[in-house]
Parts: sequence; C-alpha cells; structure tokens
Amino acid sequence: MTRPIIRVLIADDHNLVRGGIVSLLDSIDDIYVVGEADNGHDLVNRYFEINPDVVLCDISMPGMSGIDAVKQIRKGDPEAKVLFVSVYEGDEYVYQVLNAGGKGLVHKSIVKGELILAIKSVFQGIEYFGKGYDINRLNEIIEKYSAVNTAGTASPGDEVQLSPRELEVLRLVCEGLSSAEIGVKLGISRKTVETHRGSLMKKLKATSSSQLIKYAILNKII
Amino acid sequence: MSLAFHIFYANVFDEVKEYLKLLQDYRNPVNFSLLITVLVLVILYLTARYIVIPQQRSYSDMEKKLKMQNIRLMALFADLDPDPLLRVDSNGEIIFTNPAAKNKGFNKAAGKHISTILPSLNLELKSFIERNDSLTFYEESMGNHYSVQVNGIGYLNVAQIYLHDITQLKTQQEELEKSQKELEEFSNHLQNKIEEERQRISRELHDGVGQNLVLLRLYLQKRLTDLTGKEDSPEYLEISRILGQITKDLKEISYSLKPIILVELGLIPALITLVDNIKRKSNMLGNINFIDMHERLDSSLETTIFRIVQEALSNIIKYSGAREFNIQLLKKTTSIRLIISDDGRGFDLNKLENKKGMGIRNMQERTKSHNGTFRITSSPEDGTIIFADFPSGVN
Repeated sequence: MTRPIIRVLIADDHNLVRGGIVSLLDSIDDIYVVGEADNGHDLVNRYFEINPDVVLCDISMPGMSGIDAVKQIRKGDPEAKVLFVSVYEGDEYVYQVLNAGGKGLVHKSIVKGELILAIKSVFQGIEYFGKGYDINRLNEIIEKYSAVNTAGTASPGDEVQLSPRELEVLRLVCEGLSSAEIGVKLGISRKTVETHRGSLMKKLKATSSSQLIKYAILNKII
Repeated sequence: MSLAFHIFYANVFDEVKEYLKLLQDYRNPVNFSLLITVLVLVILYLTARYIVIPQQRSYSDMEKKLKMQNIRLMALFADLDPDPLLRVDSNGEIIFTNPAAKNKGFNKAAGKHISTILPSLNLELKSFIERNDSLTFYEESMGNHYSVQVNGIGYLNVAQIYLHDITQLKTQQEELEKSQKELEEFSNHLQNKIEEERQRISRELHDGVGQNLVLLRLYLQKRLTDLTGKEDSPEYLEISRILGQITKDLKEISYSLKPIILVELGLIPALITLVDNIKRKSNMLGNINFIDMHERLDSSLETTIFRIVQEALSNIIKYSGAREFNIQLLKKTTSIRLIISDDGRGFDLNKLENKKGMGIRNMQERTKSHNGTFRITSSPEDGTIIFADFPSGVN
C-alpha cells in the first residue's frame, strides 16, 4: 500500500532557515516541498496557485505576518492545514496559532524526526503542538485566553438575596466611594454603611472590597 | 322780648365800663401779669435769635466741613491710588474718576452711566448704597481685565468702584496654562515615541536576533554532526542548552519592552499573559475579567490600558502586601472602564514616596492622554482600588 505524498509549501523570510528545512525534508520520500515563500503576501498567492496539502509557516515575517497570511488563506480555504514554526515557546504563541486556525506549532530547533511527525499529524488533521500540549491542555489555553465574559453569566453566589439598600451600597463601592462618602450620598451614617458592607461581605463570602467589586461586575450590578 | 334784651344789654355795658375803669389803674394785677408775659416772650425770642440758632448753624457748618474733609481725604487717597477708582451717584452716573482711571481712559465715561464701562454691574444702586453693601466681580473693560470692587457709602449717597488691573496676572495665567498644555502634549508625544521605539527594539530582538540564533543553532548542529558523527553530541546539547536560555531571555526582554502579543493579538491575550506571569512569579491570587469586550480597541488605547495594568501590578507586588488582586475591564455604552483592586494594606495618598508617586502620576497622565478620568482610593481596610474610564475608542 503506497503512502500518500504530502505536498508542502514553506514560508520563512530567512533563506537559510528555509533552506535548512528544505534539505531536512529532501530525504523524506513521502514529503515533497512544492513551493517556497519569503513573506506573507507571497505565501497567500502561492497557496492558491499551488494548493499544497500542508503549509509550514514562520509565525513572524516582516510586512504581513505568518499569522495574518494564514487568516487570509483560511478565508479562501477553511480546510487549509497549517503547521507554524516559531523561535519561541509559550502558551501565548499556542493560542495565537489556534486563533489563526493553525493546526500545529513547532520550535525552529526541532529535530528532523519530530518535524516529520508534526507534518504528518497536521496532514491527517490532528493538532501537533509538541510535548505537554494534549487536547485538554489546548482546551485550557483556549478557555483561558478567550475569557471574554458576557456580563451576567457568572454567578459566584447563586441564591444570594441582597436588600435594595445593600445593592445601593455595593454600586457605590464599585464607583470608588469610601464608607463616609457613601453615607453622605445616601443620607445615612458611616457606621450604617459599614454594617451594610459587612453584611454584603458575609452574604457574598467576600473578604475584601476587591472581591465585592468583582462580584458586582460579574453579576452586572453596576 | 325787646325789653329783656334792652335790660341785658344795659347790664353788660355797665360791666364793661366798670372793667375799663379798673384797667386804667396800673396797680391792677391783671396788668401786671400781662407785662410779665410780654417780657418772657421777648427774652425767649432773643435767646433763640442770638444763641440757639447760631450754634445750630455752626454745628451744621462743622459737619459740612468734616464731610468735605472726608471727601478731600478720599479724593487724596483716590488720587494716590495707582488703580483706577470711579465714584457713581445713586443713579449710577459717574461723578468722579481718579488720575489712574484717566490713564486707563475711564474719564471719557464721566457723566455717563456706569454700565457703559462695566456692563456686568446691573443692580439697584440706590438701595445698595443705603445698605453700605459691597460686591466683587471680574470684568474685561477697555481692553484690560479687572477685579472690580464696589462699595456703597450710604452717608455720602455714592458708591466707590475700585478697579484692580489683573491683565498681567491673567496673561501670565494663560501663558502658564498654555505652557502646561504644551508640556502635556510634549509628554504625550514623548510617551508615544518611547512606545514606538520600544516596539521597534522589541520586534528587532524578537524576530531579528531570535531568528539569527536559530540559524546559529542549525549551523553548529551541522558542523558538530560532521565533526562528531552524532546528531546529539554532548557539545551540541550544551550549546543547545545555552542557546535555549538566550532565546528565553530574549523573549522576556522583548516582552518587557513591548509584548509582541499586544500588537498582534491585542489587549486581552496580552493582559492574560501578564496576569499569568505575575501570578507565577509572585504567589498572589489574581483574577482578570473582561465584560462585553468583544472587539479590539484602538491600538494606542490598548497600549495605554496595558501599561496602566502593568504599572498597577508592579505597585501591588512591591508595596501592597496583598494576597489577591482583581482586574476588571468592561465595555459600557460609551466608555471602557478599568478597575484594578487589591486587598493589601493601602497607603496614604497624600504622603506618597517619590517612586510610587511617580507611578501613580504616570497612570494618571496616560489616562488623561486618552481623555479619560482616573480615580484612586486607598485605605488599610479596603486596600487600593484604581478606576480608569476611557471614552469608547472601538476601531
């Protein structure tokens, strides 16, 4: 049974790096380098000319970055399979790749065997981000970085009932007013304000104003 | 009837005749008392004529003299006063101007109503003068700025108007405001230039130097493989370890200058990474929430917010002793609100040490440069809370 041949397009602004990768892949029978690009624009154009199976792309290139180029490619071909290459490691780079629709990320110091494994994984539609980045970890990263809450969704205290006065005090705490200032604003004594604050903290299981504000914001009280 | 009348008339006639006879006698007491009455009247007349009336006259003359003296004194002071002085009667007509007023051209208004030179002065002067009232206001008149004081002088039935020329003060104030604004603009410009420069250096290190390290690694790997015949010779592993450390350092330096992620991915991933790094390094509990922040902001606003959070977190780590910090970034209908709070020991806002004070000023300035408002509260009970509101700048 003959294995399918994987046609690869390589984009990197450094000729030497590109050359290095090409020579690494030269000896592999079922991987063909079918094209090279040295900038983002070139990559987009060549992609649609050649229609490769896998794109091996540097994250950062001058002008249009690899990330932007891949975003553009995926607009025209949502099925495009891209393996990114980067000098650096870290969650933020992994997220950047996932966000652009990339299927994998490898370090530039990668050894031959791992590079081949990564290209083959991406070709089969399996994410490849190296050691320690399994599917759970990837989901964690996505969750962490897309932590754009819509107000009202989080409710730390489920069945908490706040009195109208407590709500007023909480709102003013979130405006940055001190107990004395809140007292003046509501026409009550500082001590009464502090009592309300105390009961707010107790009800919301908060230990600081900082936590009170967090609760109020996540529950769209302000 | 006529007989009765005749008898009555005869009786009266007789009595009168009798009485007249008595009067002719000087010893008659009635005559004596009449004489005394006339004498008393004469004495009273003479006293009034020659003693009381002249004295009254001299009193009123004295009073007039005193008034005149007063007026002269006032006039003297008015003459000496380097500031313009006007006097108006109860109708508001200008009846006097001092030499300083003449110098400023106010004498041209003499005889005219005060409102021709001081339009703001529209009050019921008559009662104002009666009450000895006074009033201060500012007015621009005849090309100069004046601080105007009006004093009602009831007993003279006039009002004195003192005009203190504050044109120079005003000009200086305007110049000061102008130079302050210029300074602010310059500071903003400088800040932008610094950001640009940091971004350029960060990019150069991140992309340029970082890439070249990769090339160096590839080259060394090839050479060492040729020399030793092994791909993972101990020499290569050691060089690779050092190169790895250099790359890591480079990434951190580049991040501290200006995170590439902030430029390429935007504020939210950049802040998440920042909070992640700080939590890892400081052992603090940290939390960041984004509410309704679905779109990227203007890139300079993103940089500003990022820098404010960076500064605030650096203060929290250095000074607060907090166990926890919370950051909220929320999009409201017309603004973006940033709240950074901690449960630390707080500090006295009036007694800021230089370094911390500079940090807060820096945050304030950055907020202001985006027409935002900045507020900070701090106390041992509530920790420190920073609020920064920016007018919406969605791209």
